[in-house]
Amino acid sequence: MVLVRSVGSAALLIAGGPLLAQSAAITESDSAFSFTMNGSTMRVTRSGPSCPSSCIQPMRAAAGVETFGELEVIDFLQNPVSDGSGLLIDVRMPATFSAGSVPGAVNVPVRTFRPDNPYRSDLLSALGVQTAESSPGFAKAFTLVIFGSGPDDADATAVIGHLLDAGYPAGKIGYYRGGAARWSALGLNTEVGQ
Amino acid sequence: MTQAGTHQGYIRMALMGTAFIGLTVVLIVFQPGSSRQAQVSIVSDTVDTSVTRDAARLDDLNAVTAQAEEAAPKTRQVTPVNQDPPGTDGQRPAVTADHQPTNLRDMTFSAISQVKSATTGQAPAPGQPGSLLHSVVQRSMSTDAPAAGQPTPPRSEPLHAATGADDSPGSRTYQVRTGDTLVGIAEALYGDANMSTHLFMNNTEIMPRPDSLKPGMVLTLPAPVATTSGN
Repeated sequence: MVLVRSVGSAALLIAGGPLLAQSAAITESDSAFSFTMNGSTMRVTRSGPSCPSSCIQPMRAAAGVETFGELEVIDFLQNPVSDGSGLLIDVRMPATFSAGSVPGAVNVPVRTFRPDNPYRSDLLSALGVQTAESSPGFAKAFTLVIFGSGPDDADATAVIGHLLDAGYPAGKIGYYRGGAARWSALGLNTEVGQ
Repeated sequence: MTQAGTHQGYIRMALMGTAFIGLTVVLIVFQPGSSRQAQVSIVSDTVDTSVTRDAARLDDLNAVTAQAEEAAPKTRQVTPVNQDPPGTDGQRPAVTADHQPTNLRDMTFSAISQVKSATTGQAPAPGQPGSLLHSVVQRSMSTDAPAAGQPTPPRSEPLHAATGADDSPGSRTYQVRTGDTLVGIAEALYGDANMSTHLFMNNTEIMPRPDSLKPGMVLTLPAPVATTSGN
């Protein structure tokens, strides 16, 4: 019992050290990176938000999935969305979405894309997939651009993963990495309660 | 003798009249019913305030996306008495138990109706592809008649899918569930309430009258017929 307690307190000390120094995890696996330049070692650390809720996402969500910036998103809204072949999808929770989102965005929360959602096939058929379970036909499926709350929102990349697992072609999926946070940080307008 | 009798009659009348007027005055002054009404309105007031408080708390919980995941189990505790989806989750209760099916269902179908209204300009009407009723019916059909081998109608096109997709008469069946009506089934399957007549005519051997629909009955589905309804 005493041994367990001492081991526990030692673990607490080790874990608490970085916590006190306000260094937060950057990705799921790494909390800091180091590299050498001209022989001297330098470190990349992160303070503020911590990873389990806000992990910094890679530029490419998955192979074949194009990453969008703001101008590309606007172009996407002007062309595929306008002619009815594309959808800009906000994967945040409905309450956050209704507080304001990118104009033209449609709210489909991340939880509804999970494979354990019994109604996911209905959602996929609403996205233009034909008979989602047995032999999915993606010919008429919408081109989607997925975004979440920001570049540190794992939900958007999770949705892209779920879509790819369901057989959605990577060429029909886009990833707006900046998300709602970057959109409004650049001063672009948001629509409230769409 | 008769003089005394009439006097007694007058006194009795006067006494009863006085009692009647007195009782009326007492009733008017105290009004035993009114206090109960006041109590009722007080109760409804308190109910109202608790509702608004709940709504405010939910907004707070959902302010941060990361917290929303934690918020979900809490809302499940709040609404455990919500209606169960009729027979749809029975197939996989173990999977959906942790993910509060009613809430997830509502979330999914509100998302679907948003997608539909963004793409077609209008949210799906009850019974049409994309609506919950349509999903329930499709589900029951695919589980009850898997051997039929008929492809389920494509659900992306509203109306046309239900009315024109399959022309194979008699090969598909539908098992009646609690709460079903002939008109409801006709609307859900064909998008046309007038098909209920054809549905009944096709099943006269098991249904003596149109209102003798019972849960568990297996209806043979007629081929879609173009009825005169505008719909």
